[in-house]
Amino acid sequence: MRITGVHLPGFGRLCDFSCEPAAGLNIIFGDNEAGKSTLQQAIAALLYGFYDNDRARAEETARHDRFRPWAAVPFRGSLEYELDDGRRFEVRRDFSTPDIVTQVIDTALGIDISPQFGRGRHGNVPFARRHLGMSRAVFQSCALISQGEIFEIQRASPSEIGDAIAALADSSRRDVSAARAIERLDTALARIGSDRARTAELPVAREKAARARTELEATAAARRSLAEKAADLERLQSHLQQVAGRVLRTRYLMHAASAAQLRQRLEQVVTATAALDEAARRADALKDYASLTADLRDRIIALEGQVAASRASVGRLEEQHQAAAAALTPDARLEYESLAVSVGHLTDGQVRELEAAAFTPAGRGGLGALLGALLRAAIALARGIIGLMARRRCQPAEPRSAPVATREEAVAIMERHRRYLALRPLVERAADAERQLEAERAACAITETRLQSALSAAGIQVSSLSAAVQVFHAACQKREEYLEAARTAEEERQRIALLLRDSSRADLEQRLAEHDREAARILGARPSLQGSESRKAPEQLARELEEIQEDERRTSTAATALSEEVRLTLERYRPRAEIEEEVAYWERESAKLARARAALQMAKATIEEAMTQVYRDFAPAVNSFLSEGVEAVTGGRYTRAHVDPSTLRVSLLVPETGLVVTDPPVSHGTRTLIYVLMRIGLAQHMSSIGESVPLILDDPFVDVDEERLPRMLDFLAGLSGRMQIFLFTKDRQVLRWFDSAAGTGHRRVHLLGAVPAPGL
Amino acid sequence: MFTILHAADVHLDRAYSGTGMTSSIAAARRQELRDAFRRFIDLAIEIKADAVTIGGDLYEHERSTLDTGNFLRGQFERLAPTPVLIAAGNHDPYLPDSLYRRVDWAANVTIFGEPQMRPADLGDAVTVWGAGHNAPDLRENLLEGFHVPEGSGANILLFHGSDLGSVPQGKAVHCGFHAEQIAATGADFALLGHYHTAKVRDGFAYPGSLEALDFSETGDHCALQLDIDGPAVKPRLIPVGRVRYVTHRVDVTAMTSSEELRAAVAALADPGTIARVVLEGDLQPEVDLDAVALYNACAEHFQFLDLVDRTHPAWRLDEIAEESTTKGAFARLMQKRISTLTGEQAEIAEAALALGLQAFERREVRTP
Repeated sequence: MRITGVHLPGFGRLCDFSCEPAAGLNIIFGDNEAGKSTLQQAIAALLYGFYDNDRARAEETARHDRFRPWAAVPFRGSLEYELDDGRRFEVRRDFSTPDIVTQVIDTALGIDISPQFGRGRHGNVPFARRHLGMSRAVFQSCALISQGEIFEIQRASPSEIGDAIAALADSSRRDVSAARAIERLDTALARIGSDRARTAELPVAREKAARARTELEATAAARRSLAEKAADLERLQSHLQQVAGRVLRTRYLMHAASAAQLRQRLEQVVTATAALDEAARRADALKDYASLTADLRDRIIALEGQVAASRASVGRLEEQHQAAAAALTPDARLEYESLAVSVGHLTDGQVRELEAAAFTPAGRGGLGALLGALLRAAIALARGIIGLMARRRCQPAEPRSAPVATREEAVAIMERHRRYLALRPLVERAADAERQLEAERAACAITETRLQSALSAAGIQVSSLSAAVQVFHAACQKREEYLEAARTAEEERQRIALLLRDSSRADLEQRLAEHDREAARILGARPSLQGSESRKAPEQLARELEEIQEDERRTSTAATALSEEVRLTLERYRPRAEIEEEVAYWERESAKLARARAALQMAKATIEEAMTQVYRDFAPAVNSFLSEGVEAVTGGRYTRAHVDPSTLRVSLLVPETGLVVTDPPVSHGTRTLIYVLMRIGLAQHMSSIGESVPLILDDPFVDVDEERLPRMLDFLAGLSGRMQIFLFTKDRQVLRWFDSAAGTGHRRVHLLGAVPAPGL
Repeated sequence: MFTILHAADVHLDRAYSGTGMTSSIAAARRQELRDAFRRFIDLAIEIKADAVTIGGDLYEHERSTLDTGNFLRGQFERLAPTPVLIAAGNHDPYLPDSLYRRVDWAANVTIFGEPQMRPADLGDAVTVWGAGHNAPDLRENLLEGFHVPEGSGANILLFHGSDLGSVPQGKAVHCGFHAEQIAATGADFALLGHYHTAKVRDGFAYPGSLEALDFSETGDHCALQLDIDGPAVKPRLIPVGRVRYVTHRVDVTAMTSSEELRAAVAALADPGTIARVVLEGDLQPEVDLDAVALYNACAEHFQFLDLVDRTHPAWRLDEIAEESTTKGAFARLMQKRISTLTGEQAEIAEAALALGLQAFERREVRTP
């Protein structure tokens, strides 16, 4: 682009200014306050306006207002320019209103082409950006080289100059380089932290999120455990309820059974007591018979038996006696007595002799003997009778003997002896019977006496033995009755004792009342138990109750423990909502930081990639331009300059040593020249479309010595064949150089001064 | 006349994870829910309600604490002997470890915990038929096959379910039913819970959440008074909620300094509101939007302030991308990269572009 005309009816201190710059070098000369800076700003404003977009920012408005004409002239201007491709345009701007009416006239066609660029508010028509290939910021940073910038660079080393150029190449700003941008990104990355870092934001957030998640999981596990425990507890409580029901039922049954049993016992006690009373009453009534001792009674009974036996024996003997007496008539008895006297005394020998005599033929001698025997038999008979009589008188009979005379006698004696022997058993039986009878009678009498005595001893004072015995038997009966009553009383007493055991009837009654009361109470609490009954004994029910109660105790203990567990399960945890919020917060933070880290890393990598691209393209161009310029402006002092393509730092070949030095000790002037050269190279490189950019230099060579200034101006003049240059200066040396050495194709504009500032 | 005071969806012990609140601020919100419930009980006492009903989601089971159980027990004891009837909902299902089964409730409290209608005779010929959720994902229609006995006075239904004719967007359906099914049961009215916006229809009503629970819950939050006079039932919403969630939008496009931004947010100050301030528009590069500093400067003017930065840096990207600078090359590379990415990666690349451009500015890089 080449600016071919600038017309300013009014712009700040400039009034009715107009110039037509040359295509090459243009020297804009003027003293201080002549309007050099105003003209620079006017060119920028005509190209780019005051506002960057449709919204007017305060500082933009302030800058706009700052350039209102000092004189009463229209606040507007126009600028004509020609692009490298030959197209020519004129931009007309009316700065008098915030809208800044702007027209871009295609001078070949004579039409306003501003709509093609998208017409915005406040004169925001980006034609310059399109035609120059750079924004206002880049234009102002790269195409304008100010004196202040040069002052700053004079104190910098060549490498710092390289940094400044790099910053401009990076961001079109001298103070922000890509390297610095990366540093900032690194600082932010360090703050967020790597995965290995421990105290940076992201690891801390992740750690906190992990801790909160762990706590949340623990809480969730505890909640699951709580659910299980609560279900178990409900089962236990349900079981406990059933057990309690069974306890209640069993207790009811036990009380009811106990009451029934007690009631039955009490009834038995009542019955036994009545029986006892009756027996006691009877015993009392018969107590007089209690003195009839068993020994006495037994003795009396024995004696009575003996008497009876004796009497029976007497009776029997009497019968025997009577039978014997009946078998022995009185005649027979007399005969026997007679015989006993006559033959009773015969011995067996005598009998045998008589038999012999009787059955032997008769002889005197024999007969005489027989007779003698008869005689003796008669005598014996007599003696027998006497003896019998004596026996009757209890006098023993005297034995006798008489000699038998004849056989007849002997036969007679024998006959009588036979008769005697026949009668003798009868007589003896009768005698024995009589004797026994007498003896028995005597014994009976003795026994009766003893019985009488015994009865008397028993208090039975009845004269008749039989009556006494009858009385005795009656007494014995009474005594038996007494004993029976006493026994019955004792039995009842024992029964009562057994029924009462160690208690009293009152105790039993009290216990019965208690059981009844308890049963009634249970029934009141659980009416459904009405009618329940069991065949089991209270003791068995009590045992069952004990077992159920043991189950109840176990279940209750387990339920209590579980209930406590349920209560405490979540107690050591924070409320879940709080933990969830913490998890969410730290996860959100972690995700945000992770995204930010990823973004920072991407930004850093991309900037590095962009740097590589830009420097790779930029460094060679600057390198050759710089080498050419350095040799020219230093008069061959330095012949080679090198720009590092990775940092844009400058190295110079020092002729004395033949070494390329990165940071050579060069003078202020050399530094200025190096910087200006690099800036010019940069400006030419910064158009995105390769358009040549008018270069505006604001008196940058103030400190360049007289020797190097013409060389620099010469170099610029040579360079202006490739780009339009505006050199604003108040240095008359430059004017002199222009007048003597500039040649054709260049122009000098002399700013004569300005309208006084408002209020001055 | 018989008066029932009804509430639902109190959501005690809820978590405010999605609101951006810190735990301590969320704890204050939970306390507000309790305060609202206490006011509900106060109201029941004040109007001498004959019965109080809760239509489910009284609390959030998974997050419930015994402390909340004891709080509720205390509140219900204040009402004794007035009957309190609770139908368990999907957030407070009647599970073994639920507060409903762990807390020793007063005798005036009846909890419907099974998904079948059960009667509670309240006297004065009023019967409340209630059914509850016994699982968090109960789906069955609680009205299916149910009929109230004929000629049995006023019959009121109480349950937690979705009116399928008006399911709010994004709301899960639990125990869905059709409105006409209520009349088909023969009941005079249905007191419901589940939808957080109050809604009174012919024959049924949702009181909505008792207190606003998040920024989507605007408007009044109420209890429902149901007056039963013979065959006539008259529902009436009574505002109980005090918390106001308000969302403000602040366009930062015209702002040129953080001071302007701070003033704009501070101008919205209302100590009674839980405010979400959404910053949107194009943020000028020179405006230093330090969200933490902005929050610290303004938060005290609100009950709670949630700052949401949805601004876009007002970079003249096209202009920058045209530059031959490294910055311009960076912008071009990033634009190219963004155009090939989608979803979160694209968002990260967008952020990378903004951070990179920020790094080329004079100030410190500030991550979102």
